[in-house]
Amino acid sequence: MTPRAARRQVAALLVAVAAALSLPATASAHGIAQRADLPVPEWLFAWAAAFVLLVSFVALAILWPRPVLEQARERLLLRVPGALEVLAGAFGVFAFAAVVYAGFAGTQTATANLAPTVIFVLFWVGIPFLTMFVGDVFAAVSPWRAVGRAAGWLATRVGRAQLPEPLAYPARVGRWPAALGILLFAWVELVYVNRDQPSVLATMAVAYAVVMLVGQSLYGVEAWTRNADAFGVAFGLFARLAPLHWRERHLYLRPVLVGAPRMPTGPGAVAVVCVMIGTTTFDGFSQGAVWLDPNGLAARLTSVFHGLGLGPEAAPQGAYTVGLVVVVLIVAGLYRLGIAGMRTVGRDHTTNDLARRFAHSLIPIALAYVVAHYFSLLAYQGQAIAYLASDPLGNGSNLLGTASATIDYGIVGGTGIWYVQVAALVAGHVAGLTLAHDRALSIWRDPRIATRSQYWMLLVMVTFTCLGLWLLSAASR
Amino acid sequence: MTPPLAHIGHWYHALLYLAPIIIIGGALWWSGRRER
Repeated sequence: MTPRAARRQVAALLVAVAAALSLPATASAHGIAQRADLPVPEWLFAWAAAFVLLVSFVALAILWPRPVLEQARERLLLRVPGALEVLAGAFGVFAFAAVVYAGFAGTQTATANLAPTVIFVLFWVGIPFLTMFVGDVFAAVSPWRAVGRAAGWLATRVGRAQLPEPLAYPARVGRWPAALGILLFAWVELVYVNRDQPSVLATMAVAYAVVMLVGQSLYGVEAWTRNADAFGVAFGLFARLAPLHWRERHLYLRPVLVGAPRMPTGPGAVAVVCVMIGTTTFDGFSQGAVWLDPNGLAARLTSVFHGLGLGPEAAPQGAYTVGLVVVVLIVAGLYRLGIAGMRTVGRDHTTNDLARRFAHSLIPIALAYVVAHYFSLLAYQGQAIAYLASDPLGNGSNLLGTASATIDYGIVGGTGIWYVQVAALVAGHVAGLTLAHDRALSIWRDPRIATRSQYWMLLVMVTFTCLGLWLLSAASR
Repeated sequence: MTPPLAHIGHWYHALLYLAPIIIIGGALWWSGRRER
């Protein structure tokens, strides 16, 4: 990229962000509680967060002259008994069966049925929260992985059958199926009109499990899980930030973040993290006034789809689909801009090569966005599991004696949620800067050049932080 | 149609989220220029 083209891209970026930020912002949000007692205006948190990122960047440049994370070692903590693997897998299969059964057999009122809360709250939001502390729990409880492994074990041990070798997983496909899977799940969560209907969710869960089992039988359980299982890949990326690493029936302790630089960088690696960040960003954006106002983007796009002949249900879904895809592309474009800026220090590496090698620096940002956007959802709606576990079908049963439990909205206030959101965004972006700096040092060796290569990445990180805080503040008005 | 400036009270705070990006972007651009 020439300096002139680079300046044009920066100008375009600033104009786009300015256009988005300058529109009025009022809406509802994941955050139900209001915050009235902040000591300073919300926008000042964005300034403070940007300042923290700037100070972190300078500190990294001065105090971090050699790559450290890439050579960090793990320490063996303990051996994990094989029985624990079997128990975890059995739990996953039981939980999956319970959710599917509740979806089909229970009431079709979303809030009274176990399925929607387990899928959208405990599974999609709860597992990332758990994973960042204790490592890849989903790999242990994944129902399709457990069934696939059990089937393989049974076929060889009990049936004494000689199973054919699985096909080689196509390297050029890489993690693109996982990226597509995450996008489809986000589409269901954010766009699909019947997303809250338990029987529809149960049908989709069964369909996904069937696809996973077929894929595993063709390409092998581990190869398929590593590349094509959307949830296995997404949660596996978050696990790379955790201090605990479960591998081959051993539990290792390691410094946080050091798993990230070892992220596979094949095809689809960048797409997965951009889709993860982009879909969460759209979730926040679609709850703000820019999108929701009577003259907002959603209304305008919907009228376009009405004009194309789509009905009253399909037209808004078309609008939301376009919004979802465009926001993912904007996030990918911002990342691409940060990567393109690195080539100002030298043209030894292609943009595609650098994009893949720095993709791991987006993992903490993806996790930060999940924490920031969904913390209140987990804190409040997560409590619903107390009564849903006792009455999973919503038919008045009281299996565990907790059917009369209620959600305590006083567990955390609006101000507390805001502080968690700000802390998550700042910590996530500082972690992203650290990972990018460490990788730059291993590529360019000279600390001065490595630091200079990250100027644009710093700007991208500041943009993501301010954008995230603006979305959260707009969504809570 | 009402000019957007008439509603500045509704959206000026959103521009404040943009300010750190512009300031840091400008500083980095200036720094990069000087180093070249």
